[in-house]
Order: sequence, then C-alpha cells, then structure tokens
Amino acid sequence: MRRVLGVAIADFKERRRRFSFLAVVALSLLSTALTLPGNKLGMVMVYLEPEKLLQGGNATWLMLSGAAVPYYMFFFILGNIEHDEKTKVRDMAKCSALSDFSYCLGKFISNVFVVLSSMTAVVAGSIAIALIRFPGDPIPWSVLTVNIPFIPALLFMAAVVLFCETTVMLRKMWSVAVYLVMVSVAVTSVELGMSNLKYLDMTGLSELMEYVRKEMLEKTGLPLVSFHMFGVSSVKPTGTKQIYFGPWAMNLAHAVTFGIKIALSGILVYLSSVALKISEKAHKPKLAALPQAEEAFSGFGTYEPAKFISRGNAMLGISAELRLMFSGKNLFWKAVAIAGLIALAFAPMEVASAIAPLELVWCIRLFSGMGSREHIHGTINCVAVIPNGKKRQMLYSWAAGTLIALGAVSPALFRLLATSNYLAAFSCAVGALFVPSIALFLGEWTKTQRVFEIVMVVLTYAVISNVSIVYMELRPSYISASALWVLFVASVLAGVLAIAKRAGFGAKLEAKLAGF
Amino acid sequence: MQLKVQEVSKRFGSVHALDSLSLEIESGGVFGLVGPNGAGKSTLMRILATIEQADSGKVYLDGVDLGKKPNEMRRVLGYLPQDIAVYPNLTPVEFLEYIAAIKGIGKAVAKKQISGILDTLRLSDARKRKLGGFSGGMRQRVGIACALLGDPQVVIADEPSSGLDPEERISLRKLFLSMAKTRIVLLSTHIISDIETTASRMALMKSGKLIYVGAPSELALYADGDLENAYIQAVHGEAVI
Ligand SMILES: Nc1ncnc2c1ncn2[C@@H]1O[C@H](COP(=O)(O)OP(=O)(O)O)[C@@H](O)[C@H]1O
Ligand SMILES: [Mg+2]
Repeated sequence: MRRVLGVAIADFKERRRRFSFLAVVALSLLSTALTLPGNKLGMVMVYLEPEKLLQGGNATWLMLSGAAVPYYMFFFILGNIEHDEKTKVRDMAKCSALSDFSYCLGKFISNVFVVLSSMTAVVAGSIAIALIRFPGDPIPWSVLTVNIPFIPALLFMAAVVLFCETTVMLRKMWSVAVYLVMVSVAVTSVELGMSNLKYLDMTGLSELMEYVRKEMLEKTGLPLVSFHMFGVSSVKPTGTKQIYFGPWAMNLAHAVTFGIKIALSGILVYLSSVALKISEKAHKPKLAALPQAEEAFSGFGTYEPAKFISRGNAMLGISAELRLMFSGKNLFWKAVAIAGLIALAFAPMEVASAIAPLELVWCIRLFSGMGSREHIHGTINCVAVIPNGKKRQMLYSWAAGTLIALGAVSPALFRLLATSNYLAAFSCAVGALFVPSIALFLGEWTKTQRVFEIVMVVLTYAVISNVSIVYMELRPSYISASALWVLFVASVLAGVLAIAKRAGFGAKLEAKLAGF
Repeated sequence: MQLKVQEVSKRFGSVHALDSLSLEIESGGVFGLVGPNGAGKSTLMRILATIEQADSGKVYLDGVDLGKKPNEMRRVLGYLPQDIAVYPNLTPVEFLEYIAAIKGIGKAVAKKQISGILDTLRLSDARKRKLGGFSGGMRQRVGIACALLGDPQVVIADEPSSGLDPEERISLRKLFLSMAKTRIVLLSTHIISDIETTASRMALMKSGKLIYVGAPSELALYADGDLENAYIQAVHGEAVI
C-alpha cells in the first residue's frame, strides 16, 4: 500500500507542478464565476413552464457550480500513463517490484486527488463568491452537501479515464469517444428519464438534476421543464421569485448508486492493470529492429554543403507544417474525416450545420499541436537557430491550421455562399479561423495541448446542443454580425499574441520595463 | 570568420552560469570546450547560438553584435543541442525535410543534401523508420545531420560524441576536422581524447569562468604531456595555470 501511495503522490506532485494544473484550477474558479446568479453569460436558469423561468438570485444557487467540473477534468486527468511512457518512468516502474495493479491503483488514486482538488477549488470559490456577491446572506453550508454525489461519480470517471489510457492502441480514439459517451449518458439519463443509466453517470448530473427537480417541486409546486447552465438564452428571465435550495439528502437509492459506482471503479482499476499488461505486450514497435551493421565500418563519408539563400519561403514552410500536422494520422481517422466532408457537402443544411463543428473537433489532433508541439518535444531550439525561425514557424503553422480548418468546413462554406447565405458563411469562416488561432494561442501560452482540447470540446458540445454562442452558429436568425466581428478580431489577436510570445516580445518588454 | 565573446555573464537565480567570460574563436581548426558538469559550457554555446541572451556582455560575429542582430549568426549556423529533440512520429528524412523547409532550403536541394547527409552519417538504412524508435546514438546522428543542413559556416556542437560508439566517434572527429578547415567548429565534450585528437585550440571552463585557453598540447605540459591528468589538476586547482 505504501508503494501505491508512493506512485500516487509522485504523480500528483508532478502534475501539480505543471502549469496546466493551475490553468485547470483557474478554469474551475471561472466556471464558478460563470454560474454566478445574475451573470448574463453563464446564467443558471430554471424553466418551470416554457415561458416562466427562474434565475438564481441567492447564495444557495452557487453551490450547484460543481456540475461543470467533470466536463473538463476528464481531459485533464487523461494522459498520465502516456506521460510516464514518454519520460520512461513507466519503464522504471515495469522493472521494479511494483505490480501492474499497484501501479494502476496509484495512478487511479492520483487521478482522484486531482479531480477532487479541482472540486475543492470550485467549492472554495463558490463560498468566496457567495461572500462577495451576497454579503448579507448566511453562507449556505448545508447546500454544500449537493457536492457529495459528485465524489463517487468522479471516482468512476477517474477509473474510466485510467482504463482508456491503459489500452495503449486505442488510447487516442477512446478518449474522445468515451467523453461523448460520458456526456450522452449524463444527458440522456436526465432528459429522457432513463434512470438506469444513472448508475453509469460519471458526471453526477443525474443526482444533481433529481435534487433540483425535487427542490423545485417542493418550493414552487411546479414541475421543472429545463435547466440551463451556460449560454445566453433568447428568453429574458423574469426572476423575481426566489428559491432557496435546501440540503441534499442521502437515501437508500443514492447509496446503491454510489455503491455500484465505487464497485465499478474498483473493477475498472483491476481491468486496467490487465489491459495494461496485454496492450504493452501487444504493442510492439511497428518497425523491425535494424540488424547491427555487418560490413566493416569505413567511417563517415564526406560532407557536402548545400548552397541556398537564407530567406523564408512561405509555400515551403506552410506545406511542411501541413505534412507535420497530418503525420501519424491513421486510416480510420482519415476515413471518418472524409466521410464528414461528404456529409457536409450532401446532407440537408440543418444537419450539415451540426456536422461542421463536429468535423472541426474531429480534426482536433491536427490543431492541438499548434503552438505547443515545439515545447512538448523540445524542438523549439531547432527553429530558434534559424533566421526569424520562431516567428516564421508560428506563422506557417497558423496559416497551415487555418487552411485545414477552412478545408474541413469548405463544403458547408461553399453551399452557404452558393445560396447567398453570406452571414452564415461569414460565421462559418470566422469559426474556422478561430479554431487554429485559439489553438496557437493556448498552445504557446500554456505549452500543453490539453487546455485547447478542453476548450474545443466544451465549445463543440455547446454548439451541437443548440446553445447559441458566437462560434460556428450557422442559423442566420441567431447570428449577430457584430459578435462575429468581435470573434474575428479576437482570433487574429490570439494568433498575433501567440507569435509575439514566441518571438519573445513579452520578455523583451519585461527587460525594458525593468530598465526603468 | 571570427567569433568574439566579450565579458559575457549569465545568471540563473543565484548561480553564475557564466561569469564575465571573454574568448575569441577563429575559423580553421576545431575549438574544444571542456569542463566539469555545470561549468557553463552549454550556456555559453546557447548564447553563441542566439538561443539565449546574455545578461551582460557582448558576442560579435565578424564584428556584428549578435545581441542586436542574431539573424547574422543564424544565417550561417549549424547548432547541435545537448539534448536532441525530434518528432517521434517522423522518419529522419521527414524530420530533416521539415527543418530544411523552415530554413527555406528549396525542395530539390534539400532532398539531395539530406540523402547525402544520411549516407554520410550512415543512417540510410534507417531512413524510413520512425524517430521514436531510434537508439540514443542514432538520434544523436540525426541531430548532427540537422546541424549540417544547408551550408553552415559556424558549427556549434554540444557534446556531439555522446551516445556514439567508438568507431562513430572517431569518424565524427574526422568529419569535424575536415569541416573546420574553412569554418568555425566549436564543440564541447567530456572526453579528453576527443580534444587531444581534434582540437587545435581549447578552453577549460570551471564555474562559469575560463581557467585555460590555448593549445591542448600546452595544457598537457603541466602534467608531463598527460592531458587527462593536467585537466584534473587544473579543475581541482592543483596546478597554477
Ligand atoms: N535554464 C536553466 N535554469 C536554471 N539553471 C540553469 C539553466 N541552464 C543552466 N543552468 C545552470 O547553469 C549552470 C551551467 O549549466 P550548463 O551550461 O548546462 O553546464 P554544462 O553544460 O557545462 O554542464 C548549472 O549550474 C546549471 O544548473
Ligand atoms: Mg552541457
């Protein structure tokens, strides 16, 4: 057990030091702030009848903000075995007395630490916000109990993520697929009332919704129609009537659900260790080992320099970036991407407008290396020693990413243009510019891919669930041209800021300011 | 060509990685840099390669201040970092083609040179393999290939022989010697015999300072012609140089 804890603690410390951990804590606090009652952007609203809705206006509502945690923590805890493989720590673990099960258990515990610490940040943040925003109200400590159902749910999620990772070959495909399953399970169990699905809910949403329903019915006598967390709705809240949530109460059904989730987590951790063993055995390096050279070593040959004019060549650079982005993408991935393009070209426009953001998110792996790749692999010095290399490489990457994004949505774009749907076409093009720009920006500033991936998945989820946001909104009546221009300027600015950071303007400015 | 380092200092927190260091390096002949781990060799080389900026002091390449015009160096530079970084999913050809493209070397020219360099470094057999599966020595040779792309007039190689087998090391010495005839070749190493056999001039670094600059043979005189002994004595301050 001490060994297991050793693995867990080392892993947790390693991750806590990484910048992205701080980013996630910041994101947690942001999600708390966004669910702030009365906040226009992320308002929490409850529709009791289609036109009658309530917006939170007291501190008890804030305690619901933990609901957002699972959606981004999934991606954050993904990747810790991969990290060990890259750093060869996995090899050290393999040749030590540590069993695969202990290793997996250690990783699981570390995953749990990480998600729970994010949860804690959210809870602390909501208390802080409650104090600031509702200074007169007492802090609703008892409503904090609503976070209890998240604990087994997050435990289960941590186990699922671990399992995804231990199947080495399927790792990349798994993660996105399982995420979508996770979200769908949560949503369908709530929306369609498929209550048996709640046993598999990794987000805690089913218990939360059950609680909200019960509270609503008890306090207003009206059944809940729907519950909105993010996104600006077209309906204006009347919100004068206040509801104060009460404590969450545990019952036998809850206990059973929790028990099932915890048991499933245990089983999954065990299965993970089996999967790890099998997949590591099966996952041989694809290329046969080279035999040691037989013939006598005659020394290195002579060096032939190649004359060239040391000047940037954009065409060359962009095509090199394109090749780099597509390298290592397997046939399955390409087939789905092409199927998406075909669907975009021929599906009815309403369907196509939902496929466009999905096609972009399918290409997430092409974009996610932008800005971060050089930091992750340490190749930044290879470009730093080329005249204007850092700037140039970032520009090439940005251009290549934009070409890919535009290419990915091009069938829809052409169709919108052909039908004179200029506003929607503009929205589509700006969306396509936004993705590589934000990728470059987040990649360069956070030096990881994860933050961008989280943002993309959350955005996509919002779009396909018909939340009206600026990004990739193709329904003309919902598009605001001015908001699109803001997004356009923001995208350009994001790209420019990324390049500026890479080129070291920040450091130069700092040095200048320090000089004063 | 002439590379001139003038009172360069660099600090990392409380550590003086370089302490007001001055040095001149000319083309024609390999210049070797030795010193214990943490002496500041890599830091010096990174500053010369314009990856890092000195806190104070100046570096000139043929009279041009590199702090102001780093591109003057980059146009003629081949740099081999201490830790070779590559993209594991690419083959050596793909990786070198990528770097060549960012450098702006035309496709046909790059293709021809890359196949030549891979031949030279005996990597042709592995040209279609992914870099992720390369051994340390093979990776090192890919790094060397990367540094030799184009026509570098200044080659800065940080521990180029690490990971190479004895035959490869000997061959690399020859390669550097032949290149150094018309170029500046600066290399750092932990292997005294590398210095003995290739360097016409050397510098011994310790705690961010140079404690010896000159011909290796002259340093060896402090220990009756035994360079290794002379090195150890110099580093431990037993010999006054
Ligand atoms: N990026 C860095 N951050 C902090 N300290 C550094 C960094 N790079 C080098 N150092 C410190 O500077 C000193 C010199 O390092 P280095 O130049 O790598 O030495 P060498 O190459 O001779 O072994 C060491 O004490 C090292 O710890
Ligand atoms: Mg070094």
